[in-house]
Amino acid sequence: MKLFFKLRILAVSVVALILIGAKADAQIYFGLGAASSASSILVSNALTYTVSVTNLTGFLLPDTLVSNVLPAFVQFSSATNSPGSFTNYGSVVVFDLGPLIVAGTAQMSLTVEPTEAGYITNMISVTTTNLVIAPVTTNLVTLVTNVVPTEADLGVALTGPAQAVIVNDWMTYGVTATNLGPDDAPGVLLTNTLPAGVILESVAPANQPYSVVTNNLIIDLGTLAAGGGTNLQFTVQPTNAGVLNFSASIGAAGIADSNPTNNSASTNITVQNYLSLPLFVVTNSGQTVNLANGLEEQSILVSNNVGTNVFAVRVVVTNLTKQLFNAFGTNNGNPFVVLNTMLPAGQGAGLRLQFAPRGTFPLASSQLSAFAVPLLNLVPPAAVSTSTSLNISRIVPLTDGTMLIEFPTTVGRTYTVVYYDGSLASSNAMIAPPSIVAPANRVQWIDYGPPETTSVPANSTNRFYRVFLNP
Amino acid sequence: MRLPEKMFHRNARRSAGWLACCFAGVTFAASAQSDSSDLFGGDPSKNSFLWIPSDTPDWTRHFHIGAVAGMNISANFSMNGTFGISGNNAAAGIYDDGYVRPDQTGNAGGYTSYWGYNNASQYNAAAGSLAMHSSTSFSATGSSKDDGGPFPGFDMAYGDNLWYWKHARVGWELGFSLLPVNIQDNSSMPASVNQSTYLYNVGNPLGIPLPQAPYSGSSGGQGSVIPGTPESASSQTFENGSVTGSRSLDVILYAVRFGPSFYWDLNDYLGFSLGAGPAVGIVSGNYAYNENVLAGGITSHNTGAFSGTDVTFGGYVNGLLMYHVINDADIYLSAQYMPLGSATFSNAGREGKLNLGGQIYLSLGINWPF
Repeated sequence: MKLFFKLRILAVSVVALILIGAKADAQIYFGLGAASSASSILVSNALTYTVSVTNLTGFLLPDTLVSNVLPAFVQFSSATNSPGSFTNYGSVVVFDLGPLIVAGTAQMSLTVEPTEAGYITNMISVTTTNLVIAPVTTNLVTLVTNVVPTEADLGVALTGPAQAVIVNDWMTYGVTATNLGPDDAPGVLLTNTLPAGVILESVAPANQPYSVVTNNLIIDLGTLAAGGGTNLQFTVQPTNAGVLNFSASIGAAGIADSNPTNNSASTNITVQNYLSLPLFVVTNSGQTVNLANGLEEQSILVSNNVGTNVFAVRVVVTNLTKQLFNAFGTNNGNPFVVLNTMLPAGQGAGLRLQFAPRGTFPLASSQLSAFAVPLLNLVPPAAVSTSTSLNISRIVPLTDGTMLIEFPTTVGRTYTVVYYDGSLASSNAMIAPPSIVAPANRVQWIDYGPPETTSVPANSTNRFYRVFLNP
Repeated sequence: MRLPEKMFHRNARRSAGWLACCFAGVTFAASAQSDSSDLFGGDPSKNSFLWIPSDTPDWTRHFHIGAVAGMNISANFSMNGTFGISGNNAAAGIYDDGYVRPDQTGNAGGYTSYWGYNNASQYNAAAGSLAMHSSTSFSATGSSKDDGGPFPGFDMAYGDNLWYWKHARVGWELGFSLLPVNIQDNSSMPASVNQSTYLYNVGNPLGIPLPQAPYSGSSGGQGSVIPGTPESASSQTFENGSVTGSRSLDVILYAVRFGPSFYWDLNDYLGFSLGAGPAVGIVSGNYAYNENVLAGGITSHNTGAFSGTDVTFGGYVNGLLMYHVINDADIYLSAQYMPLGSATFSNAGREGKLNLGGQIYLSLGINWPF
């Protein structure tokens, strides 16, 4: 009887192999669910597999067989199945489910004990006798160790830049590594893969050590505490337009990761060229000291000479000997400001550049380049709008149509000014970049229009301000 | 005649006291019972002094040390003259009610971010001016007396007995005491105050106001800026100023005394000694002041100190009551009157005089006879 059963299994397997080769895209006849009680266990500990099979053929199956092929160092302990019976052939345990009705489901349980360390692969296959249909297979892999493995759920996530990216922009994206526990995870390595043509500019925090292997940044995060995490900011310069895929993965040797699905992440970032040929831009004032913030200021005039309306304008300043204090970003190492409002064809707009440290210096129009760019997204992020809103102690209209606001501060803390044109509706909220690092116990901030805000306040019917203390 | 057990040991010097070994390096051999015919030694029938022989088995020497509380010490503080004020430095831009200092840009454009002011009244928005004040000096005359104490210290003495006179033993004693003394004067006095006012031109055509007071800018170059130098300066004398705060004498009195001593054993457990003689004191320490000079609504801070040492002379009278706790040690309670001359600390119109003419020490400690 046993010999007959083995021959039957052999026959079924031969048929199955033929079908696998011949009907790779054939219909699926079985629903096969399988799980193990642990992703890693100790030697001599019980490991239980639970298997469920569903008849998806649409007709009665007279006899269904489920085979579990296990390595030699695994010892059978027990098995149950309903309906049917099972037979232990040593390294193979076969469940004979008998007839299986249409959409009928059978449940099986198999408990084994590993006798040595290594990986256990249970190759589970379900097929039927008497009918020529493709078997369904799945593998369950379990790590067997001599010591208790560290169990942790490592995870990684990527966040891309909020603004559209132009070729050669220094853009920053974030990679967040987490350990959801339950154990601390030592020796965690984060691999961050850069697309071709992307230059790494910096990693924050600056004291985070990393190594570069081809286009991979390998960051040794050391031990990630259970429930803890870390966030890294990568500033890169993409040198080509296109959709760039940034990916990251996380892992640690000797860790039994209970949820490997979150061990890698990726995001696509679209990099585009400037939307137009250069616009016309010139300096149109001398340099003066802003008495409210102590910065050197100079006005420039940008004109739309490209013949069509542009959504927004970026002015890049090259060969600077000072810091462009109100820069919105950096392109190819050069800071830029943005007029974040439509500039109709044939019209011009003034922008005020601020430089630090204070002191006059030569700035020629030839150092300025203006380009049409997509409109910036300056809606306050949730982190800003949910942070502490300060009392503005006074608002003073200045004689040149600008508006001064003053608020108490804590030296060294960072504040964000949000303004609203029209009403205080959140849909009108716009950030006035850049954020302010308080140099004193009170700060005076002047809304003088672009590039901090979209227009001079005198040109706005109603403009409201709020100041938030950044977290 | 057998002496009572307590007196036997005390007079017969049967054992060597451990402290005696330490201090004198002398080990007394056990000796026979005293040959004195009197329980307490000496001969009450004679009026003459009987020399205590050098080979007497009696314990003739003693050393005592104890804690002291010094009392009845006072100080006179007086000021007479014109005094500088340490809390400002107008040349460096540090004023009594603000500061205007060079920032890290080197005052680029003539402006500095490194400035601050205390009171809204200093800013005249209409005139576009910011006033900084600096009191440069004050003249004051006055004095006050302040009592202090009791002051904790310690006292120690070494002595030897040379003669018997009736029951008493007559000898000498050399003593030393150390007494930290701190007396503070918190009185205020009128003063005539010279004050300078520096005006900064903070007006501007845009109408940018100064940040509201109190404001304290930093040196980094960013934040509100004002001109780095004043536009004008003027001086004024306020005759109705005042000086408040404190002046203090913080000194240590080291006193050495030497004189004859008389000792009686009152009974088995109690002894009493009297001493008197000349004393010399060395007083060393600091005169410190921490004052506020008020004038025209401006408060200037003035701190400083000077040190000195003075030597005073006087005498002492003391009495000790000793309780013989064990053979080798007594607990004593003493009172000492040690009038010394005054110790004076003076500098540039300031004077602090420590009055030691009536000082009394109460002391509690341990006496070791050996």
